[in-house]
Amino acid sequence: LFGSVYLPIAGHTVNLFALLGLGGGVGLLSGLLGVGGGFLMTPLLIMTGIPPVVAAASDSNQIVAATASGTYAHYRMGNVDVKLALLLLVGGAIGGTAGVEIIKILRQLGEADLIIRITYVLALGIMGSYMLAESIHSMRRGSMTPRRSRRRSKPSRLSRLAGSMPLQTHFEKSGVTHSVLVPFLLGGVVGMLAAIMGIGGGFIMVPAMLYILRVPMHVAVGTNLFQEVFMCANVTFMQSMTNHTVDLVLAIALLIGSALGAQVGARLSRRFKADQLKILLAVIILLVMAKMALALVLPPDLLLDIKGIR
Amino acid sequence: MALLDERRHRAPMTLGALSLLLVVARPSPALADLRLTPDSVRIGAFFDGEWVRVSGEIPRGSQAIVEVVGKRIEEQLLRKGRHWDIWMNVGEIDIEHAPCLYFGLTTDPSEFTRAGADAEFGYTALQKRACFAGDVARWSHDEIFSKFVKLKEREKLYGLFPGALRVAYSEGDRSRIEGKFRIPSRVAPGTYQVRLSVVNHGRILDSESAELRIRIGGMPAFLASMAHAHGALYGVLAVAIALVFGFLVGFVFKGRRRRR
Repeated sequence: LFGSVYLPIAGHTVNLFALLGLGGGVGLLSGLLGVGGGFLMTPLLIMTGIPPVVAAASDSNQIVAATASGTYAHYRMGNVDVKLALLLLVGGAIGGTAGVEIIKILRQLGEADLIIRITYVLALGIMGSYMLAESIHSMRRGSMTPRRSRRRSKPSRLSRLAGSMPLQTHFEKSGVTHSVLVPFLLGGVVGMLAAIMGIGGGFIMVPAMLYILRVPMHVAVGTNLFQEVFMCANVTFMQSMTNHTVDLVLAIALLIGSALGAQVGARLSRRFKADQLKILLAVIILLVMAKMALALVLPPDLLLDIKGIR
Repeated sequence: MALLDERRHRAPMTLGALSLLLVVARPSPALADLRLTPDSVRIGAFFDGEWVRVSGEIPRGSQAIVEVVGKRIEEQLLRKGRHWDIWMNVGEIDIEHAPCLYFGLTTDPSEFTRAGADAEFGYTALQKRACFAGDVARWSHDEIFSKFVKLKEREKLYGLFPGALRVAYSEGDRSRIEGKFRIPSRVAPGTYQVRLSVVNHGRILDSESAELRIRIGGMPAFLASMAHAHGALYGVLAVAIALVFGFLVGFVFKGRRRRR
């Protein structure tokens, strides 16, 4: 067929234009809605028949390109808190390495795919529901910006707990004071999830920085993109060395599509209201989650499966 | 001189006798004759499976069966079951002596229907040779094999095609048969046996084999080899490509905005 391309690690053929379209579509949403897009890309790749372990590892690789592109722009605008990002990175590197080892063990046990799917259903379900509820609530209350709403809201229990921890330090760019342990632990948890799910972790990290660390929105986005470059680079390297599951052909096709799509999405985003975009994203996320959840509860077509990639 | 004349007379007689002997001693032509086009398949960057044509000659009135058989492998399978109301992998089954690929093509549309000990071809023959180990208590041998075949058929690595071989023409006591099968994109590189069997009234008269070589080449071979043999270098390359491309796209789009 025209446009077919052989994936040497996945071990079968897919249509190159379908991959470019998939990358472009997710990149467009990413640029439109300000999220990494990895949480959508990996399940969509799994749905197209790519083995989950290859999909997750290759997606990490393409996120490196997408986040590098975003970081370049944000760094020029002064939105990157390097000190905070370095602490998140140290935690992320340890968490990411632990995640790769967990995947290795789960693969040996034959449970890697199941754990990836369950983690996805939970993460997508929680995030999609939260975004949908928050957007509807925000639309009802009118045009209140997130910054104003944060100023009015009281610090959460997690924020208060973070404030009581030792080794407090001030993060100038973000304008906040926290224990160094907080971003370290946060980075560790997100890094582990990133390795297991093949995502950059932005959809967890950005809300966590906003609501736990109280970092301003534009600095949270810039800092997250900066640390995601290194975290996903580490995950890509570890997956290549340990599990040999990064498919470079798949990753390159996706990153071409996503990098270009993200730029188009960023321009389109000016034409829509923020809450409309959030609701659109929340609905997409919940649909993907529903599809994956159904696959877990409905009887499969076949009751046998091949262990491993081939 | 007389002796020489006698020898001259005898020479044609000796040659005639030798010729007769050669005609009598010449082996009879093989009943089956098999050709593959192509006989070698290369998995390249744009490989999406490939059709292989099979042709051959068989005695007129007999039936032909062509089997394409991959090397026998030990494969680990995961048994799915319901646990905590979620469908998950609940056991592991090891299968031995089953080929990684199996296609069967016949001239007779009703072939492959015989079962039991008489079956020489098709899934019944494969099942007789296959062994299962591990978590096999819940399902019978037949059930496991049937599910295994469905799994392989979904990956297009197993298939039975009764009637897919046609008799193109017959000449004298010989018939020419033709057919084709598709090598799927999921095929593993290696050497595959293609065997033509001539069957008459359930009895195998003759068989002929040919080899089909499938090899990975070009960029996919380079990348697959690098990924497994030099994982660290492969990882660095993957990260470097992504970083360069990402910064390049950011730079190009930033430049465009400025010009405007």
